[in-house]
Amino acid sequence: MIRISNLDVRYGGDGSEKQVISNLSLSIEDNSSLGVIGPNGCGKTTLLHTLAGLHDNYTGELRLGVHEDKVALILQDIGLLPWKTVRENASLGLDLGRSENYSNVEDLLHELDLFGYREDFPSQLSGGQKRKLGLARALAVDPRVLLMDEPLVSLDEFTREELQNKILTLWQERNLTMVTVTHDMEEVSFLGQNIAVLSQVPATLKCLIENHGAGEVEFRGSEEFYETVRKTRQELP
Amino acid sequence: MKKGIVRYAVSFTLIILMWWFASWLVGLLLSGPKSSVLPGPLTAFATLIKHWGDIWPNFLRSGYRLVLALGFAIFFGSTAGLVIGFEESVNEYVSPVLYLLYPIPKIVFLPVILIIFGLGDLSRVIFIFLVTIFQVMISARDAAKNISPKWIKAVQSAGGNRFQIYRHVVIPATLPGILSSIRISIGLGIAALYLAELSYTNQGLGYYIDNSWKVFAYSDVFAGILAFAILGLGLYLIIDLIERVFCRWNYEDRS
Repeated sequence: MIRISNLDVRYGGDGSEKQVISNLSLSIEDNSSLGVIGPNGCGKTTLLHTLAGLHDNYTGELRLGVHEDKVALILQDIGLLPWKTVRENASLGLDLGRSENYSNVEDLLHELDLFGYREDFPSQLSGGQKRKLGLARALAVDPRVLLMDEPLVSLDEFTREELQNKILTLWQERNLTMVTVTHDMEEVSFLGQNIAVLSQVPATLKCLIENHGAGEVEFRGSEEFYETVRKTRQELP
Repeated sequence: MKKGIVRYAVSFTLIILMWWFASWLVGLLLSGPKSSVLPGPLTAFATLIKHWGDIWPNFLRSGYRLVLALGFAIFFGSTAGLVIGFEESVNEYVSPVLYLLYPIPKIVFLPVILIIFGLGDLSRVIFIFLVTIFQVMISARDAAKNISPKWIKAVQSAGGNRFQIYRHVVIPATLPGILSSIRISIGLGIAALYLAELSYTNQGLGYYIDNSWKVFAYSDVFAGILAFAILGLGLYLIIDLIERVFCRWNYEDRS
C-alpha cells in the first residue's frame, strides 16, 4: 500500500522557496488505481515526481510499500532518447541495471504493436506510438507501482481511447498499483478507482471520489461513468 | 553513397575550373617569372605525382603530428567541455578561465614551447593541441549546457546514476555538436600545423611548402598544398564516417 501522510513539498531555495504541496494525505491500496486531477500548475506533477524519488525537498511521510526499483514513472513529455532505437528506449531501465528480463521487452513491444518498429528511432514514430513506447519502457522493468503523468496528452480521441483500454488491460494483467495524473475528467473517471481532486497551489486534497465501476472497458459510456465525470467536474476548483 | 561521390565530383570539378581560370588570369596579367606564381591544376597534380616520393615522408610526418595533437585535443577537450557544461558548479568557476585563455593567439607561445619542449615533434604537437583544444572544449560545453532536462529525468526516473546519465544522455546528445567542432578544429589544426612546421624542422608539409617557396619552385608549393588538402579530406571523411555510424538517428527520415 502507498501511504502519503502530511506531505509538504517545496521548490526552490535561498529565499525564493515555494510551497507546492501542503499537508497532503492519501493512501492507495495495492493493485488499485488512483486518478489525480486538479487545476493547472497545482502540483500534480510534483506529487508524482516526489513519489518517484526525483524530488526530495519534502517533509511528511511517504511510504511506497515496495522497493524503489519497483516504481516506474512515465513523464509528461515521455523523454524518449532520440539516439536510441525503439528497442533500446524500451530497454533503458534494464540497461541501467534494474532488471535482466529482456524477454519482457520483446513481449511488451509485441503487445503494444511496436515490434515491427523496434529498429526505428523515436522521430519516426507517430504520437500514439511514442506514448506506447513510454508505456513499454516503464513496464519493461516489471514494476509494482506505475506512475503516469498525463500519459495520453495531445492524442486524438480515437488513439486516446485505444490506449486507455490498453493501459487498463496491462494494469490488470500485471497486477500494478497505478497512479495517473491527468487534466482530463473522462480519462480520470475511466482509469481511476479512486479520484483525488487537488486544490489550487499549494495543493492539498480537496476530496476523494470513489469510482468502483472503473476497471472494465464497458464502464466507458455507462450512467455511472458519466455520474463520476459530473462529480469530478463539480469538485474541481 | 553514389550521390556522395557525384557531389564530390561536382565540387572537385568546380574547384579545378576556378583554379584553372585564376591561374590563366595571373599568367595573363603578370609577366616574366612572376607569371608562373600560380601554376594550373594540371601542373600541380603532375608535380604531386612526380615528386610523391619526396612528398610522402613529409605527408606522413605532418599527418602524425596533426592526428596526435587532434586526438589529444578531442579527448581532453570534449571530456572537460562536457563536465564543465553539465556540472553547473564547475561551469561557474572554469568558464571565466576559458574566456580569458581562448582569445589569446596561441602562436605567441610557439617560441616558448619550442624552447621548453625542444625542436622535435612534441613541441609541434603541443602547439596544435593548444590551438584546437579550446574550440572543442567550448563546443562540448555549450552542447552539454543545452541538453534537454526531460532526457536526464528519463534516465533518473529509471534509476540511472550520474555516470549512467553521462553514458546514456550527455555523450550521445552532444556527439553531433562535438563532431561539428572537430571539423572546424581540423581546419584550425592544419593552419597551426603549417605554422609549426615553418621553423626548426626538416620534415613536414609546411617545411616542404616553405622550402619550395624559397627556391621559387611554385609547382612544388602547390603540390604540397594539394597534399595538405588530401590530409584534411581524409580526416573529414573519417569524421563523416563516425557520424554516420554513431549519429544514425540524426539521418533517419522524420515522420
